[in-house]
Amino acid sequence: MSSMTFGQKIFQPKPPIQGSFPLDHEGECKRPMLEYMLCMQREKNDSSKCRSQAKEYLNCRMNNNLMDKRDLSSFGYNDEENQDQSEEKKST
Amino acid sequence: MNLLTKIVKPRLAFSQTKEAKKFFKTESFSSFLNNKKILLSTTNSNLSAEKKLINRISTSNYVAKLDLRNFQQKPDQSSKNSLWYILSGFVFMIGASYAAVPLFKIFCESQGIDINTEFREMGIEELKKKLSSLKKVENRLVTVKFVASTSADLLWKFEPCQEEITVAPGETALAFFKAKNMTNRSIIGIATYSILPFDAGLYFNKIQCFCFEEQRLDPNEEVDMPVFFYIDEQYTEDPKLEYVDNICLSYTFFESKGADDIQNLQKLVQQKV
Repeated sequence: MSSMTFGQKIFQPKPPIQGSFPLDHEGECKRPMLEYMLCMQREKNDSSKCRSQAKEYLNCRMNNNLMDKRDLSSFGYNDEENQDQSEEKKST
Repeated sequence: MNLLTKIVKPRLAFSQTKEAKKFFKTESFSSFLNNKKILLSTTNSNLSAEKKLINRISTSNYVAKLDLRNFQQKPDQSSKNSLWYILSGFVFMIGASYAAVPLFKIFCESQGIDINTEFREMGIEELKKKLSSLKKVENRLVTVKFVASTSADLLWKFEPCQEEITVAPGETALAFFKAKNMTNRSIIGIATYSILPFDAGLYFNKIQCFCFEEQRLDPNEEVDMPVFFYIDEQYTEDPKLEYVDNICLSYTFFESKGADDIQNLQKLVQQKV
């Protein structure tokens, strides 16, 4: 059967850029994860609305040695702070 | 008489009349003529031959005339042939150069070589720099659906925590999978993934996930596995992906025997060597 794939594109998986997440056996970051999932259910799986919760989860991972410590702005989260500040300014 | 001229006008290609005459002088052919009492005469006959002819006419039953002009090839025919050969070779080369383009594409796809992305392979540092300069693309939303499966002999309950997630290209996103070890022994699993459609998969970059590394689950343990990814901004500029708004990311878990087993295997191999 595999010989009939002539002309079909073969998918080659790429390794992740930063490697693999170590498993969270103790469930230390379960709470931020649940908050993120609740946000997703609220916003109907729109990821751009739940970025702060995602940031919380990544912070939790970093604090508990489950992820390499890295400046979150390198993940494109620096706009987040600007957006929060501008929203706060508008509300006040 | 007409019948006989047909008999002696065979469809043989002789380049010169001498060869034709040689053929007709062979024993088998002359015995045939003698048996049937056919006299073979050629158009290029000379006087002495004519005398012989008159003598023999009385003993023979038929006189057949062999028109040797049928066996003469026109002198300029061979150069015309070579001209046609050269011209057809020229046309073939032009056709082959046109045909090479789709054939090469098919060959590359079957071998899994992608010329466009091979040269674009970036190092880890470049990728990290790119991450810091990621910018969200407006006006385009892509829905990423998640599918989780296990191999048949792996007794884990593995499922995505969300069915789909709507994300914009250039924006990082987080997704979760849940895995539970349903057995009473600790199992080591290893995962692989695939993305459909293939063209969209070229733009899908995972920053961190849980694939390709062994993950050990203790008995009856449940963990959340995150996938942190983003879709490249150039997704919107690809004409093939203009109407592709759904991507399917599917993970499959397999059982791995673990690093200890690999060491055992290495010992075995060394013993044999």
